Amino acid sequence: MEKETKQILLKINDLAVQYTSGDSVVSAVNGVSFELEKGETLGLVGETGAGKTTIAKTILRILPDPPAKIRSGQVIYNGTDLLEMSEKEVRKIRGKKISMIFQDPMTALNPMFPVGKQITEAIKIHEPLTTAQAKERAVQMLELVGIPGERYGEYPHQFSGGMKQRVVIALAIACNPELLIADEPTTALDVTIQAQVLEMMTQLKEKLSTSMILITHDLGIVAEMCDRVAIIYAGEIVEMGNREHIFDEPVHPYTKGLFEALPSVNMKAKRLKPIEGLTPDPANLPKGCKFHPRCPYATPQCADRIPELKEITKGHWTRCSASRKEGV
Amino acid sequence: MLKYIGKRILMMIPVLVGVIVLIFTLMYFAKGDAASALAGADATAEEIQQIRARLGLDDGYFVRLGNYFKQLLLEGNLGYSYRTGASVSSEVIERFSVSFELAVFSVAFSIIFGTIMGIVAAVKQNTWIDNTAMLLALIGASMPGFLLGLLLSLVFALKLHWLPSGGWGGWEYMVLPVLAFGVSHAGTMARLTRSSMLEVVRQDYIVTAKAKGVSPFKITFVHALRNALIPITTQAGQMLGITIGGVVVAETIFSVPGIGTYIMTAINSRDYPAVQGGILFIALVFGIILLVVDILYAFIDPRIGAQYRKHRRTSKREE
Repeated sequence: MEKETKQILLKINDLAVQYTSGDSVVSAVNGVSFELEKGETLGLVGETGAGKTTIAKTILRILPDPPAKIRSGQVIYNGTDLLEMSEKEVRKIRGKKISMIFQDPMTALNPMFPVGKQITEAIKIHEPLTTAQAKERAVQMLELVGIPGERYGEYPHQFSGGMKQRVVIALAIACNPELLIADEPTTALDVTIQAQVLEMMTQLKEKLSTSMILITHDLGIVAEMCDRVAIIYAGEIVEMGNREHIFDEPVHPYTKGLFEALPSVNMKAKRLKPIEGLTPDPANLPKGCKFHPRCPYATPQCADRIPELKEITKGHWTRCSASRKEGV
Repeated sequence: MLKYIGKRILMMIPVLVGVIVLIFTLMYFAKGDAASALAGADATAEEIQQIRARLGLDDGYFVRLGNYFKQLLLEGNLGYSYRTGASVSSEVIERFSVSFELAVFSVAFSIIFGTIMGIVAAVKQNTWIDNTAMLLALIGASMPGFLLGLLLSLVFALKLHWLPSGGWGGWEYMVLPVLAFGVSHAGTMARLTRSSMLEVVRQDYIVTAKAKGVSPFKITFVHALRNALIPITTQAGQMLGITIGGVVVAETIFSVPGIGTYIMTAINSRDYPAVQGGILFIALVFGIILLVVDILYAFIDPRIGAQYRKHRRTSKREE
């Protein structure tokens, strides 16, 4: 691959986020670093509670504080650290440069205001337009996502789930953001609507040439949409590489486990093959490698030291290659 | 929507009938005699008997109840006061306008102070501002109106001579009664506003608003408050009703010539038409206020509004 002229849009360095409630401290994100190039789609894959949404909300600085606290790290966007910016400056970036598509379209829209008005509001905050012009643009946005413009004045309760998610997407792209964070955009939708929404997102992404961070736990969606993938486990990236690396030659035992758990079309599987055990309690993470209690390749040393992310081939990073040594 | 309002008005009829029967029965079995109260202390037994006969007090329970309904329905008349001989309806309306003014001001006071305090407490959750506001609200809400009324009149009227201790006239007569009854409602309102705001600000759509760059001020006062308004409106409507029904105490303490003192005097002199008329009127106003609150919901919350409108798609285009 000759991507020497790559432009880094977003660079996250050693991000750590904790939630405190009373005496218990939950470490949701533990030292996550990654880069995102212009026009690229990065998939963040992991189980529920792995810290994916926390990473996304940290980028926009919309974590609820309290209880969430950013312990360390940098979120460098176009050369400036978003975490160092004043609230007022960040507000100019939210919705304009970086915007987010939320997980649950049922609750993401304010039930009291017409959907069109909610889009117009975002446009008016960021663009020097009159109300009439902003409204016109909002109508265009609705039509872009396949909603007739005359439904501008309708309220969220008058839309189905799939249509609401389209509205949420229209809202997110209304100001032509450079970076779109999609937090499980299709999880709350049924499968046929999922396909439509994904198809639409791919088209829009190409049309507007936005970069995207796609958060999901659905490997099928990753295969379809992402250029690069980061596998997240207990608040850490355990393996990261381009799509081919992850799908064709997964190395980390957790990633391998994920793929083995998928039923294959070719084989007649009676039972699914799960990863043994449960995701660790984030308030009480295991010492050393966080996956070692569930790992079939674990050795006594795994409990002592946290393995580093190492580049094993160009662009393919993993914290552990135990499976490769024994497996091959 | 009109159909709904009509239905609600029809539903008020059995309630009002129930109120009439209940009040009539209570007054019927209450000790004391209207005729002897009316005739005065030195009246002869014969004179009292004459008055009894004239007022129809010798008739049985059902005959008198029937007569009252007959008068109400056929003549649309609340009757004439035993004491003054004047028409009850005109007296009640005159007195009620005073009470209504008092109640509206006291509720307006509690809504303004209560919601502002509640919003500030919710925005500054778990800070000293929140704690102070909630402590004040708790004290206010638990302070009985009559006690606060007496304290206020003791301090501001008797000691400091800033304000009159009773009577009715300009604004200065209104301050103490409004405070006496507004403060406890303001406390309740502050606590309610805080909790409903806190519930709303945790919702996903608030995060959405934040993520599109809306300022914290607009998030609080536009996105969150609009959603928190439903419980606040319910509470405000009930407060207005309760205040109108409960002005008796305030009016007695501050000798305000409102419907409360009217009913009190009427009860003491067993002036049956005046008592029944006064209470019936209060019940009617209470019912209307609750109806107005329900109609307001439709304007605040489009989801409730939609339930009233059947043909959504077609009517939507014009909006």
